[in-house]
Formats: sequence, structure tokens, C-alpha cells
Amino acid sequence: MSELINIKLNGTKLKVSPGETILNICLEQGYDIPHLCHDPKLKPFSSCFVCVVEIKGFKAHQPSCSTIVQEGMEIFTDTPEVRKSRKMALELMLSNHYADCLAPCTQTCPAGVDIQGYLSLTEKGLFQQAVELIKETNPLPAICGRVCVRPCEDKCRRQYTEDGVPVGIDYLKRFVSDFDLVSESPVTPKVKESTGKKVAIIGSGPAGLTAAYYLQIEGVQADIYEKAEGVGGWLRYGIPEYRLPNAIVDQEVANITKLGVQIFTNQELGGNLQYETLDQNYDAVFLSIGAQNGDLLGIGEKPAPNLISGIDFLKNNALTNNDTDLSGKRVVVVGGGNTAMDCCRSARRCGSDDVIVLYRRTEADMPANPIEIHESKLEGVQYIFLAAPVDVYYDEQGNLTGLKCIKMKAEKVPGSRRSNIVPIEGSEFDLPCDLVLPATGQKIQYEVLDHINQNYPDQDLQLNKWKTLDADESTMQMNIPKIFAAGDAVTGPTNIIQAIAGGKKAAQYLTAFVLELPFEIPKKPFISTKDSFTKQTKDLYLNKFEYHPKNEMPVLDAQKRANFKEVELGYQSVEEVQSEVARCLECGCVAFYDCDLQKYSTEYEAVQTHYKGDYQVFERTTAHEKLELDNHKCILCGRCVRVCKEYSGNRVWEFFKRGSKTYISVNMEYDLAASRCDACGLCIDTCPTGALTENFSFKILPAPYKKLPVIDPFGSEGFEADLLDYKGNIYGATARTGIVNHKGLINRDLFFNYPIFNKSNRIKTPMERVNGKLVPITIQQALEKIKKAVRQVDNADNVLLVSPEMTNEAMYMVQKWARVGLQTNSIGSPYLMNRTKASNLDKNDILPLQELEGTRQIFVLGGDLPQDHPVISHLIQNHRYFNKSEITFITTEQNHPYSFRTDHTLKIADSYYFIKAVCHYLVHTEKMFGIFVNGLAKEWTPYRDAIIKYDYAQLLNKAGVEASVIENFAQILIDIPETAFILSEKNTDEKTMTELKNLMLLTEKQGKTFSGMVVLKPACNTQGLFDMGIYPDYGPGFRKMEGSYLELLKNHWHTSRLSTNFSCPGDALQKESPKNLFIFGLNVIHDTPELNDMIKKSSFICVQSLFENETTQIADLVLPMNFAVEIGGSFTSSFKVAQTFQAVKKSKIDWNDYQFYAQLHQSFDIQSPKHYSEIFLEMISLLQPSCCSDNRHCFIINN
Amino acid sequence: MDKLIVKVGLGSCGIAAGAQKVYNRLDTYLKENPGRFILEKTNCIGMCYAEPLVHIENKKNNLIYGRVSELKLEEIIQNHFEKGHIVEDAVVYSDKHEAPENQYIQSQVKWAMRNCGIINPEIIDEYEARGGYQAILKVKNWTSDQIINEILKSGLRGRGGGGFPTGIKWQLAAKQVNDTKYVVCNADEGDPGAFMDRSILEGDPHGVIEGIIIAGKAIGATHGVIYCRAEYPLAIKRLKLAIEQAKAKNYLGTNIFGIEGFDFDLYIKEGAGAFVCGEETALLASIEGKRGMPNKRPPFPAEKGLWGFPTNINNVETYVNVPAIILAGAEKYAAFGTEKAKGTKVFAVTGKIAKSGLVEVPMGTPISTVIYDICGGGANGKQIKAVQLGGPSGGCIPSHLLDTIIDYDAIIATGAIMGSGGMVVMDETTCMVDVAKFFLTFTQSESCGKCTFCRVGTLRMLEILDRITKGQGVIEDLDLLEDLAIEIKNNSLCGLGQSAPNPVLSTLKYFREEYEAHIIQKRCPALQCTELIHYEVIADKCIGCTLCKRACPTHAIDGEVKKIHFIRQEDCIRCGACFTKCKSDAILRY
Repeated sequence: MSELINIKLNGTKLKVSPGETILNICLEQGYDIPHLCHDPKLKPFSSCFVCVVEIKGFKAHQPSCSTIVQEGMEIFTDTPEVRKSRKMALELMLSNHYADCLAPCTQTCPAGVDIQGYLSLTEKGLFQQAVELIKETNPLPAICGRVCVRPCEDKCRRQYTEDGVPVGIDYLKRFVSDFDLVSESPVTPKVKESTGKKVAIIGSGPAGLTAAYYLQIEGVQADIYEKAEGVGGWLRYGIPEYRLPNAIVDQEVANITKLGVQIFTNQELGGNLQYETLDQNYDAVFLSIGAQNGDLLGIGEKPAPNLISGIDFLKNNALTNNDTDLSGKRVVVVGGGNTAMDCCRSARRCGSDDVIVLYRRTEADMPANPIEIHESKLEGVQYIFLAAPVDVYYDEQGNLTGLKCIKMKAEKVPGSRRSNIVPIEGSEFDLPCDLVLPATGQKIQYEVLDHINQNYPDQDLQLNKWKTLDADESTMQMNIPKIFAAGDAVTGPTNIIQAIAGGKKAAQYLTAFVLELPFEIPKKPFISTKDSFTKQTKDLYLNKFEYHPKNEMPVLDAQKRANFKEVELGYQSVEEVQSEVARCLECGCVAFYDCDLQKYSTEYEAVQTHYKGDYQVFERTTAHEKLELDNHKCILCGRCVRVCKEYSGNRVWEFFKRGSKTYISVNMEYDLAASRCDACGLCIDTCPTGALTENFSFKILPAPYKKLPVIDPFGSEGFEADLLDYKGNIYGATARTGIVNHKGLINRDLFFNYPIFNKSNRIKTPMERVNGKLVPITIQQALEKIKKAVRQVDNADNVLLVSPEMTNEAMYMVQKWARVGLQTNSIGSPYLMNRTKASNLDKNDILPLQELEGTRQIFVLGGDLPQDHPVISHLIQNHRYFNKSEITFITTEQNHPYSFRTDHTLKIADSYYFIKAVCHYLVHTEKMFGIFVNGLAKEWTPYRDAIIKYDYAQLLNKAGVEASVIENFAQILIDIPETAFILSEKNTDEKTMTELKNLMLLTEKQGKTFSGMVVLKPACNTQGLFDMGIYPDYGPGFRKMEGSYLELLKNHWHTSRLSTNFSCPGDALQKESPKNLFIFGLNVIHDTPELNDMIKKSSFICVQSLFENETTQIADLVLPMNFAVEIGGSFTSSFKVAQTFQAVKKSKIDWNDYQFYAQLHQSFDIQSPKHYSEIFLEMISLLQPSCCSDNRHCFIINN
Repeated sequence: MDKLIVKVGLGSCGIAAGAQKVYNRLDTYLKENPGRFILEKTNCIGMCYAEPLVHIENKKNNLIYGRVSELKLEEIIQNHFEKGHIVEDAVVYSDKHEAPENQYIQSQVKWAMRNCGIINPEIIDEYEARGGYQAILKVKNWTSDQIINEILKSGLRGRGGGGFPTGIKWQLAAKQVNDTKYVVCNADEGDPGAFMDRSILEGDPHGVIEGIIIAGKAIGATHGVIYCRAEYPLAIKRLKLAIEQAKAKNYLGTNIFGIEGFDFDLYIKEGAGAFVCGEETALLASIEGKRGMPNKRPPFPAEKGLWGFPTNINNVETYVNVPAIILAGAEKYAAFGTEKAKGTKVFAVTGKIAKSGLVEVPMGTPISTVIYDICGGGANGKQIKAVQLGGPSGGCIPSHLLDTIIDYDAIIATGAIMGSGGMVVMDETTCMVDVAKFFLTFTQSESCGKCTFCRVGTLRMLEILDRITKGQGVIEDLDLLEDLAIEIKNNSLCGLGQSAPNPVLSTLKYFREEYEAHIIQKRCPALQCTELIHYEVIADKCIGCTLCKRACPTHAIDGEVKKIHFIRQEDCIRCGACFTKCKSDAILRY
């Protein structure tokens, strides 16, 4: 080892290894240096320049990812200059990042509801998860789903496509919320333990309810004081029932009070409720008092009994249970907002046939929701636009009899969106009427504030210039520290979702306040948006998306609306819902929560528009089945280019053009789908942004996934990986660097096939076949059935077939049950068919994975390595890329695509005879390692005699090669000690494998450093089949069931008898006697059709399976099963390394394999543990004390 | 008998000026009058402004006719070849008499260009006749250290622009222990306005080859690669020919020059024209068949270069100096120049200059000597405003600093760089903002696109410059420009990015008022930025001839015959047609 060198890092003296990069040292030392183009498994590149540092004596900043430390270097990682450079690097990248981090709907929503997220969950039928997600930011989804003003939909990009209208976001929210409300267990958040703190909330409107909800979740007691008799404030007294039924309000309120929130009604602050009392009893007070005073006409009119503010009218009507009678009366509603709409439509429902809305501007200017205007017209409401009242007529009783109005005209104001409205002189006209409902504005009730202020002699609650409460924008705190406020009282009359946003924010800081925690105002997350570049318009979206018209909301027939029944009926079917969800364009980036660019941009407070200028626009590359490229999000870090070059060997990606026009595309610009890309997924996994992603078959779900650590359950290499979990479903997998997976690679099968974990057709309970159909039964019943079946046959006629995808612990339990409980040794696996014990190589004969990088010559013998064992293929390619090793591919296939990635291809006719010919040549010419074979190897003489007898010419002929090929090949084996053979068990018969082993002995490749063979197993725990004794005459530890070992087993398993009839499953199944077949985790009918006849002859078939399949269809008894990641355990890799893992994923079914096996054992009077760690302990004591098996260094004679 | 030798300069510049026709005519004449003289080809001697050039040499006289048009050639034939009378008015240089360009030639000191315009580059014997391939024989028995010491003593520094001491570079490569080493010649001359290397390659290919072989011997390399841009077809043709000739004489191959165990082979790799491939790590990537993208140094090419093997890279001018230094002795070479910059340097003087061409002068010569004394000052007698040195990586030196001497450090002190030898002269009609924009447009489109700052940052700078030249700039833009410029310099991997902002920074330093005029007064003082030029009719001078009205493509001029015309500014597209047409100077351009 070379000597350490001295450096100074941010003033601290350090001794570090020479040859290390500054970045690696900094990361080790805990300095979080931002970096984008760096991936530890790739050669340093240095293009992003966000990792720059300052080095004393250097004029310019240096990229730390590629700068090697030198003796005496003084490095500074966080100077203002360095930070400035990093920020500029980020901003320059962002100035060409025409892409959205978050969907515009979510960005627009005042409460920040993750709309794209819940739409994605809705698509998957996960309605309650959708509600859970909504409730993270909005506790009143069923209410909002009906009456939200939907700013989200205004920004929805769907409206720019041919369909012309936004996604019915609110309709979908309503659907899932209603689904949840009527479900057996509506979504209820976890409430934290009580903190003992209390907050008084004044007003039970949306702001108050929201604050209460989030306070209570945090363990702060929220008590709401409501002036009125009913709960809900504006929700109950402002919005008419035909839009929002009180029942819905009650249900959502109930979901809040269920958490422990208390609501006290008929409590008027300043009336029967004194602020002093609240001050004494509560740690803080939250004012959500709304803006409850409706404006009148404001033209100097006198009060009149039939001049009522719109909101008072609505409130009175609600208080009287919609009992107002306006039949025969002409009602004039003044104003154009949503309150005006509620008034006019309510007036119609109260019997008036003559309702007129008087609005001073044009229809297009109306702030009301267009749907409301549309519906009101359907219901017969009349409109007078461009007119305003100027005077009022009264009769003698002081009742109002009509309005004097004046016509208005619009004058365009240059540079302004809205035109100026001016009266037309002399255009006055009279409008006789019976009731006038001004709906033009609202103010807060200042009496309440006066009452509170009495308690504070030194200061009053501060008001802003709009005369509303002046709460702090970030925290909603008032100038009197213990008072917080939100809702209309702060914002002035606005909408529900604003109030909810305010209530949520207030709750957050109220919690901090009462718990005396510091107010942490988070950094505003950086959000890239296409709007920063150009206004999104139709021309950018036309002809790009399939036409998909909106699924309209079913409504009550206009003729049937003379009442206060809810007009909108909600989507009636899941199909409608999914059709509407399908319209979502998925604007938000799937990588949002995992994007390094976003993370650093937030950290460095980068501004996207700082260096605004020209930017590149691309079409998304979506033709490939598995991959998708969005160049807009590409930062040209080249990680994909490099990973494809350095690991896959395919060189699919390349840079194109120069300067600011540079972009990434498929090498030679072939179509990606037609390229050499074999979808290994490495480029996606390394992409630091969302440029390269999976081509998802479902609506993407950007979410802060939980990483569940697993051992690759789809490969036999034991590579560590993480599953990406969101609320129990898996949405992806990513590499996890570990002891085995030291480069951080991932298996294609895991990367793309994770959706199997979410499949819905899991077997959930034991089932027995009755009249040809499977019907659920209990576990006890299942156990009884098994026992009954077992009683009916001879012991040896119980046959067990075991899947190589089970954990060692599960295999062990099954095997123990067979041998002790069933007294049978007929246990095996189709994966071991045609394999003898010779297939179980000694661990010392397998080249350890770590030593692969020390080899100089690698022979890949047959198969399709990149397809079947991609991670090993990657490691080999990487080794080759750095010119450390040559790869020779020995294949029987013509033009195999793998040849492109190897240095040489050796085309042969038969691999067995090829190897044999080499062995013959070596022995015949006495070029083998004589000392070794003579001295150490067993069976050398008989082998020599056998091999020498072969006719060389015949061997050559069968191998399909010239003698020179054999000789050259043999010479390489002699000349290069560091030679490895890689083969895939799937494609290699046992004869070839054992003959290769002979060749290894002849050339002394076995057990030597950097040489030997690797036999890659087909499934994650194929090796476990051997190790756990899924083999008639070999028990756990792959020890022969005889002599002392047999005694050890009896002792260990507390049994006096173990069968010594070792018939193999095949033989047992062939017998004519009745037979029981127990199949664990295998779909043998589908996977091994050659066994079908044999299997079907069984008299009783019991199948344990994850899913219903061809095999469960013929089973008499079906048992549920777990994924290994649901129960934990261990796998043994192709390298014979056993790796344990935890149960990381909650099982979707109420079932645990280990518990079941324990029960099974118990019912056969076997004592066994039921937790995998205990099983592991029992099992491990049966394993071989040393690694050396009896077939070490032993020639095998193949004929 | 005194043979008359007639040489025609057939470099790219000469051919472009019509030298091939001159040669053909002389050839025909010679066939008609055999033996009248010996007709030979040579290359550019540097007087590009006076092409085509015909050199006449005999014992009596040694003169050069310049600007030899077809007509002039007939006159020369009639008078000189027929009657022996010199055509005085066509003589640009003579070693016996006063001639207009005598000073141009005599003020120069030729090391690198010692053979250019003298020998026929396509004939190896001519090179050898002038001491060619003697240097390699001189060092035949020298050790690596001896050769390198000689180069160290000469003080030769990299002529490609970096100015790194050549000897030290060789030392670094020589001390690497490896059986395989490479010598690479960077002939990817890409600076706009620079053509020194092209002329040397065309004029003296063997000189370069000999330099490369000596470097190979010094560092222990067995292979050499000349990376030459494909846009230099004549240079490549002559190089190929030269390599063939050298191979035929066993100057390349195995045991060359009879030196036992000295194997050296030389190949040409044609570059596809990416400017960044002049950067050594990108150049190596390009030779390897990869995208021309620079890599971080260290490791330096001397340690890990081509295909991962130790590699020495120098440019054409550096190599061509080597045989001359060896032959003459390092001391002689080192006698020229300043303390830190020895020998000579070739410059390609172009732009608004009276005599544009190649000039080789000793280091330490004031720039003003090159510009005024040798090259005759501004074109058309105009006032010189600045000289741009170092191409797109360099900077401008304003006229008041032109006494700065040619020396690496002295030039850097002004904010420019020595560069590879491009010297672009600017006069009062040059807009300095436009110049900065020109160079930045070049670097931006030639950036390899790897580093963020160079890829996007230069684009943002360019956009700002574009705004300014269009009159849309704001004064804050200058801060933004400087900010970007400094950060790009500080945060780029290779020389391209690190120097791309230099033209902007140096023009901002010396000509800030020009930028401000564009921004504040919306005026281009040099009247180059179309959008900022205004045209008005001077009422006193307008005679109402209607010429301007008729010339105006957008009908922006009102007026009738014999009446004063008027330009409607809102319709004027500032094309200048009126200004050009007016015969009464009645259009004011400002």
C-alpha cells in the first residue's frame, strides 16, 4: 500500500490515500458537495461543474470529481465564490431545462394537493390511498370535490389538446372521496400522542376545520367554538344544499371530530364566550372567523326589508331549511361571482320564476365558475350584462320596489387584461323588482376583534390595507403572538381551498408555537416549469395526444331541479373514472422526489429565469418498449453514455452536435427501438434527473418512495437492491451498493418486473376443490386435509417439489417436514432435473465475484449472458472496458448478438466435445499441470486412461473446430493463469460442466486466485436447493443421509426414525400406487410441461402459490404463499454466498409462510420455530463444518 | 553559365490569387523557349498581400515580382525574359535595389519559415540541399537527455499558444517507462485568421517531419501521428508525399537513418474540423475515434495519452523549429528573444492592415514594429484601433499599448495571449462589440458541449452581445456579461471554455465606452451594427434627384423631383442603399 499523503480540507489537516479524488474524500469526510455528472462506478467525466472546489494556488475552480489529491493540497469546499459558481452552473442548466418538476395543477392548488399523485392512484383503483394522499394537504376532499373553484383545472394542459377542456380533477376527487366516505373504514390518519397542549379555534368553517384536523394529528387538542347552531360556517350557511348537501359536510366533519377534535356550537365570542376564558384555558387561539358581513348596493340606499345581502339570504334560507318562498316574486341579484350564482339559483328553487342577474361587466368577465353560469341558465335565470344600479325606488312602507339602472360600455385599456367599464350617459332604465340581493362583497365582523382587543391594552390586532387580519404570510401568526388567523378573515372573501391552505399552514406553526419549537420556514422547493420559458398554448399541444373527450358530470335533469337536491350526481362507474384519469397528461416529473438537479437547485436557491435565453425543444423518445428519453430534462452529464459504454458494452447512447445544440441520442441516430439497446436499465438507474425513465405502462406516480432493502429476488448473483415502495405498493427498483453489489448495478428483471409485487390476483386463503371449484377454507381445515391425504398413502409416495425462489429457511422447513413428518425422501425440484451432486460445485472451485476483476482472460461459454445474467455481463464488460481483460465468447450459435460485445467469438458445434477435445489434447501432449494432477487430484489415473482413448479427430469433428483452435485455446489456458470461465447453468448440461471442471483441474485453474469457473444459477436460490437438502439422499448442508450425519439429524430433529428409502421424486411419481404431490411455489404445469403427465397421475395435489395459475387449476388444495421480501430469510447466490434479508414489505394477504410451516410441523408433532431467524439458527448447525466437500479436486469421467 | 531560376509561389494563398495561371503561362513559354530559365514551384514566402509572386534568381540578381497579373506577366516575359530588362514597377523585393517590400522581408528573422517560399516542398532533395535531415544525423548518437537538454537550452516554448517549455514536456514523456509511446503533431490550426501552420506544412513538410522524428528519438517513441484538419487539403497532400519520400529513403520505418533499433513510423489523421480538437486531450480522443471531448488533466498526455500510452504533443511550428535549433545550436536560437521567450515567432497578420501576410520576428519585437514597420500600418491609411492576438481565445490590445513587446508574459499583462500567432488588425471601422460577438459565436458553436459553463454560459453571453448590438441592451447587461465571463473562465475543463470569454473581457476592458454607446445612446460608433445606424437626408445638400427614393427597397423615402427628400425612420430597414446611391453626400449616416 502506498503511503498516505497530507492535505488540508477546509482548514483541517488530513491524511488521505493518494490517487483518490477530492470528491470522494469530501464525501467520506461528510462534506456534502453537490454533484450531478459523477457516478462512483463510472470513470470521472467532469461536465456539470457543480462539484467545483477551490484549491490554493489554482487560478480556476477545479471539479472535485476528477481532481486527484496531491501532497500539500489545500482545498476549500464552501467559499462564497464556490457557492456562486455552483449556483450559476445550476442556473445555466436550468435555463435550458424546458420541463416541469411538478404538474401545473399541483403547482396552482393553493393547498398544494398532489393531484397527479392521486390521479395516478385512482387509475390503479387505489381510491382510499388517493384520499389518504389528498388528506395530507386537504382534510375536506368530499366538500372540495363538489364546490372547489378548481384553479387546478384552469392550468390543466389537457385543455390545450384537441379535447379543449381540462381533466375533471374535481370530479375525480369527489368520486374517490365519496367512495371513502361510504367505505367500511374511511381513511383516518394516525394521531400522535397527546402533547397536552390546546388550541382554541374560533369558527368551524373550512379554515377552522382544517387547522383542527392537522393540530389534532400532531397531538395538540383542537377545540372549535362555533357561533351558529350548525357546524361548517360558510360550507353550511353560504353554499346552498343543491351544490353541497349538509350530509356531506356532516360526514367530513365527523371524520375530523373522530380524531378527538371537539366542536362547541352556539358559542359566540364576545357574546356567551369570553376571550379571557380562552386566553386562560388555551395555549393559543386561532381565528377563522370568516368575512360574514355582506355588502349592500353601496349607492347610498336606505335599508329595506327586501334588500338583503346575498350571503344573508343564503344563510337565512339554510337556517330555515330552504323554506323561503319567493313564488311570484321578481328577484334581482346584483353581482357576477359565485355568491351571485348561489343566490340566483337558490331564488329559482325558492319558487321565483323571474330571477335576474344584474352584472356591470360582460359575461366573459364574470368571476363565477362557468359551469355555474351554464347551469343557472338551464334553470331559467335571466341575465342583464353591462348594467349597474344607480338608484333605488321605495314604496311608502319603505319597501324597495325597483332599481334605477344605467347601461355600461367596455373601453379597452391598453396593456390591461380587463377593459374599463364606463356608464353610457342617458341610458338609464328602470328595473322593477320585489327582492334585491346584492352579492358584491363581504367584510369581516369587527365586533369580534374589538372584543379580543379589550384584553390587550397595549395593542390591537393589526389589520392590513384591505381591513382584514394582518397575519404573517409564512406562519399565519398575528402581531399578538398567541393568536393565529387564516381564511376569509385574512384573505378577504375568497375560496375554500385558500382557506384550507391557510388553516393547514396555521396548524403547522401553531403546533410549533404551543410546543415552543422554533419556527422553521422551509426553503421554497425549486420547481422547474415550462411556463418559465414560454406561455403554454394550444399550438404546443395540438396533434400530440390522442383525442379523448371529457367524461361529463351526470347532473339532475333541469326539469327536476325545483328543489334543493344535489344537482351534480357524481361519476357513476369506475370505467368513467378511469377514462377521465386517462386524460391526465402526467405533466409532473416522475423523478421529482429523486432528482439531484432539483435537490441542489433548492439548496442553492437557483432561479430558473436568471439566465433566460434560447432553449432546446425536443420530441420525447417513446418508441422503446422499456425506456423513454425526455431530452428537455437532460443535463448532458453523460452518465447514460458512459454507463452504456463502460458496463453494457452496447454503446447505445452518444452525444450529438456541438455547443449549445448538443444533445443525447441513440448512437448513429438509429431509432432507439431498433438500436442495440437490450434494456438493461442501467442508464435509467444512473440518470440524475428524469431525462431517462422507464416507459411506464401505467400513470407515473412521483412520490417520496420508501426504499426497501432486498437481495435481488430475480437473479442468482445476490446483488443488493432497493424496492421503491409507496403505501405498500412497489413502483420501481434501484441498485443498492453493497458488499456483493460493490459497483451498484441492477438486474434488468428486477428493474422492470417489479409490478409483479402489486398484482392483485394473489391467493389470499387456503382453498380446497369442491365440485371442480376452489372454495376458501381455514388453515386448520387445510391442515386436516393434508393429514388425511398423508394417511392414505405409503410414506414414500409423498412427493415434494420445491421452488428455487424460496428462502433457505422455507426450503429447510419443507424438507424437514418431508423427512420427519411424512417420512419421505422423495423431495426435489425440477431445477435439479438431470443434475447430479456433481452440479453442486465446491465453494473453493467457484471464482469469487470479487476476483473477477483480477482476471486477464474471460471465456463466456454459451448462453446469453447479457439477457440471463446482466449484472455479471456488466461487470465483465467494465473489466474489459478498462482493458484489463479479454472476453472470448464460445458459442454454438451463428451471429449471436453478444459477439458485438466481446473481443473474440469462437464458433463451435458442441461445447461438451469442445472442452473434451481440449482436455484430450492437454493430456495427450502432456501439457497439463502434471505436479498438481498427479499429486493432489483424485481419480486422475482412470480419467487419464479414459480421455486418452478418445479419437482426437472425432472429438474435433464433434466440437466443430480445427485442431489449431483447440491448440491455441489450450495455449491460452497454459499461458494465462488468470483465466475465468463464465457459464449459465440454464444453458449448460451437467456433462459440459463437469468436463469443464476436469479442464480446470488439468490447467490448475481451480482454487487459484483470479481463475476458475463461475456457474450462474437460473433462480435466486437455486443453490439453496442443494444446501437445504432438497435432494433425496442429501440433507441440509448437502450431506449424505448416512452414518453419523443421520444420527445427528435424528438428534437434532428429536425423532427416532428417518426413512432411508431414497427414491427420487420422478421415480416415486412413476409408481402406480396412490401418490400425494406437494408443490411449493412452482408453476410446474406451465414451466415443465414434460412433467405434466407424471404430475397429473397424482391422487392428491397440494400447491402453495402466490397466484392462481395452471398448476393451481389442477390442485386439490391450494395454499397462499409469500414473496420472500414479505417474510425475510436468506438466499444463497451462485457464488455460494448466503445473504440474509429482512421482511421489508408488508404482506398484502393475512399469511406468513413460516408460521404456516410451523403449524404444519406442529400438526405432524414436529417441534419447529416459526421465525426465520430461529429457523436459520437451527438450520445452520446442520451445515458442513468446513467448506471442503468430498468431490473437491476430483476428476469426473463423462461418457 | 548563370542559370536563371524562376519560382512561382504555389501555396494556397498564391493559388487563390492566380499563381497557377502564372505558372502555366511560364511553363508554356518555357516550352516555346526551352532552356531560357529553370521553372520551379515553391510555396508562400509570407507576402500574401502581394500574391501572385514570381521569384527570379540568378547570380546577378535576386528579385521578386509581386501582384503578377496576366497582363503584367506578359510584360515581364517581354522585357525580362526576352530583353533582360527588369520591370521595375512590378518588383516588390530585390536584394540589390530599393524595392517596396524589401523591408518586409529584411526585417524578418526566419527559423520556422526558413524554407518556405525557397524550396519546392514536393521535392525532398531540395529540403536536404538546405540542411534537411542533417539534424537527425547530428543527434544520431545523442542520448535522449542530450537532445532534450539542447531543446531546453534553446528555450523553445510551445508555439501552439500554451507556451509550455518544449524541453520539459519532452522530459516528462521521456521519463515514462513504457514500450509504446507516441509523438503527436497538432496541425489542427483552427483560429479564425490564423494560417501559420498551414503555410509551414505546405511550404516545408519535411521540416515538420524531421522535428517529429527528433522528438520521437528524444522521448523513445516509435510512432507519430500528425493530426491535421481536413480543410487543409494541400497541406495533407504535401505531407503524404513527404512521408512517402521519407519512407523511400528509410527516414521513416525501421532502423531509420541507419540507426540500429530506431524505428519510427508516421501517420496522418485528418480531423473533421472541430475547433476543440486543437485541445490536446480532445485531439487524442478524436484520434482514438471518439467524440472530440476534452478530459481532465492530470493525467497529462505525457503520462497517459493516446490509447493510454505516454504521448508528446506539440504543434507544427514547434516541431519545425527543432531541426533548425539542433543544426544551428541552441545558443544561436536562444540569442534571439527575451529572457523568458527565446527565438522567433510567426504571425499571421490579417484584418485592416496594409500588408497582410506571414511575419516571423524575434521574440521581444514590439507589436508596433510588426504592424507599422513591417506591415505598413492600417489599410487605406486608416487609424488602427486595436490588434487581436490569439484568436477566439485571445484578446484585443488597444493601439496605445501596441509598443508591448512580443513576449508571453508581456502580452498576458495586457489581457490578450500570445496564442498560436493570429494577429487581426482592427481600425476605426471595426465595432468592438461586434468583434467580441464574432469570436464568441465561433467558440459557442465550437464548444464540445461538455461543460455546463462553456455550453450554456457562452450562449447566454452571446445572447447578451446580440441584444447590445441590436440596441436592446441595458446597462446591467455589462455586469451580467462580466459575471458570466469570469465564471466561465473559472469553471471549464479545457482551454476553449477557459479562454472563450477573453475577447469579451478585453474589449470590455479597453472599449467599454463602445459598449456603453450601444446601450445608452443606442449608437454604434464604428457604424457596423445595422440596427443602430441611422440615415437622414441633409436638407441643405439634397438636390431632389430621387436616386435614393428609387433605391430604397422599403419605400421609406418620401420626396419629389427637385424637392428635399425625407426618410421615414419607422420604415427604414437601415440597408444603406440611399447612402450608397446618393451622389450629393446628402445622406447623413450616424
